[in-house]
Amino acid sequence: MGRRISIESKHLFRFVLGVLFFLVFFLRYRMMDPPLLLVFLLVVFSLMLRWRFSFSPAWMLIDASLLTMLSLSLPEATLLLSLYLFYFASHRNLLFCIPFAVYLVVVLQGLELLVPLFSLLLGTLVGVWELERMQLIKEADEYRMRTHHLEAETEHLLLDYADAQYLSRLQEREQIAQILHDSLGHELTAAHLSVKALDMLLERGDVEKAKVSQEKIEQRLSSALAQLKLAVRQLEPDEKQVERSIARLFEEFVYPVQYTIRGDVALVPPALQQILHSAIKEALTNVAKHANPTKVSASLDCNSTLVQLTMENDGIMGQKSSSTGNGLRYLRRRVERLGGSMSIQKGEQFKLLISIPVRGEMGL
Amino acid sequence: MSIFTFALRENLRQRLTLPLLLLFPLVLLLVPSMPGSLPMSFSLFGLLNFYSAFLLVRTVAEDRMRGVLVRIASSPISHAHYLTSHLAAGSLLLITQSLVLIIASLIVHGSNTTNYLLLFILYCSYSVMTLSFSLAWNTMFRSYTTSFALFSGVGSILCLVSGLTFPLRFLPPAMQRMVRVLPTYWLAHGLEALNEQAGASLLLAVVILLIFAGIFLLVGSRRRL
Repeated sequence: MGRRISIESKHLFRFVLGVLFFLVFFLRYRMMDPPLLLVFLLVVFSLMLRWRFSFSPAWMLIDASLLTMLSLSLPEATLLLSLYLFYFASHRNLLFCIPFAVYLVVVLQGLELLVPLFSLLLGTLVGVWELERMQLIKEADEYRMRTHHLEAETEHLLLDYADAQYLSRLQEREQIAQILHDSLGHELTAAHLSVKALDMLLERGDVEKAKVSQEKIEQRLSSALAQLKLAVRQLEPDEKQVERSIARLFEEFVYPVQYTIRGDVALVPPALQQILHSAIKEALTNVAKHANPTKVSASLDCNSTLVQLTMENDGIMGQKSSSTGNGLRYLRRRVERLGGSMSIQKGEQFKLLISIPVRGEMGL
Repeated sequence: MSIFTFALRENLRQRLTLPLLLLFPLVLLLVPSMPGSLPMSFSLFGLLNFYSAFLLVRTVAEDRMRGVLVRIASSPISHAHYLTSHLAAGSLLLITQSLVLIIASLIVHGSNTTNYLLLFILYCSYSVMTLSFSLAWNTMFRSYTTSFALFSGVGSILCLVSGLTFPLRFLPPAMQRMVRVLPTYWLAHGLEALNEQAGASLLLAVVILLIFAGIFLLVGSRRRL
């Protein structure tokens, strides 16, 4: 991937400083005697020292003051003070500029005054640009941090959700084991003992008692069968519960919703059922918050390979931004984590379309 | 072994170092002088010193190009320590070169030719400048060979127009003003001041050479890994 080229305020600072330096050099070229050249070089050294090492701009006051004093005996060097004006202005130390700007206004005449003026203006521009850039960087950092936290939170929530599912399955197994042990186990053990007793009675030829024992065995087995049926009924989930819960969401919504549910929602894995429930809730909340619809319609299609939810409303979106909000973004992430997709169409109608493939028990 | 000793040994191990430091200054004494001016060898020494400095900076440049600097950066040695040790070693060798020329010319031309102490000071400041210039020059390149190829052209032109290979008065007056911005000019200027026994002018040349050295050092001392 190629390196991104960006122009920063420091590049503009160096460029403008270079241009100003050459301008001053050009204006003073005819007077360039060794003492003036020495001053030029000292100014270059002073500026490069600041480029190489980061000193407080206040230290530059010493350099500028020395140059001011020097310019009293070497007036040609006065124009070089413009470079310091640019430096102070670009570092947003406009207060430091004042004494030197006043001195330049008093000493310089004619068009030469334009050089410090432009230095001051350009320096201020560079300074403002740098300030804005710093603020933008700070904001971008904050957003990155927030996104990072959100992602971490989502990750934790999904892991917690998977853990909760695993635990509930363990609990279910434990419950089944308990029911089998408490009811069915007791009756079958009794029936088993009765069969042994029946064998012994038949060996002794005690047919009357054997018949009594056989009746007891039949009673025990009938009781075990009845208890098994009862246990199965207790364990069996309510297949229509999820469907009823979804229908209740639509029916209890503040606006009337025309909805259709096709296919058997109970066949959808629990993880998908929960996402589906959250998606419908989030979509309805969005409608209530941002739209004022006259018509809200929803359709849910479930089959063995795909679950598809479509929700539409004709309400006017009051939101100024076209981007999705936090709730929908969070929902999209959850849907995508299950291998599905979520799309939003905004036109005369607001349309939310969620498709999630049915992979297996968990879908995770 | 300290970095200074290591740098000194590395520099001396180069095949050209010893002839450049000890032999070539003596060869320069064979160049005939012009009447009324200092021996030609004094200004030609500027060219020799310039190329010698470039050769002595080779170890630092190659350390950067071969990635040795990355290893040094991860060691407890600071970049400032590494650089000052190398520069001190280079300066010592260049000062030795100046001393060789001065002692030899003292023998050949006699002690009345010029003030040798002032000449030594001028050469010392020039040596520091050439060393810093070479360091700054090499930071612009990724290969020492390319750097040297370009330097050999630029360095010769610099010395030529600065009045080191032939007297400055032969240049057009407009050019004479223009070349003042070149660092090498200030050796020729200092030599002229020495010939005319103008102390202030000589001091100015020495100070300007040192400021040039400072500027080049600021550019060249950047740690580029």
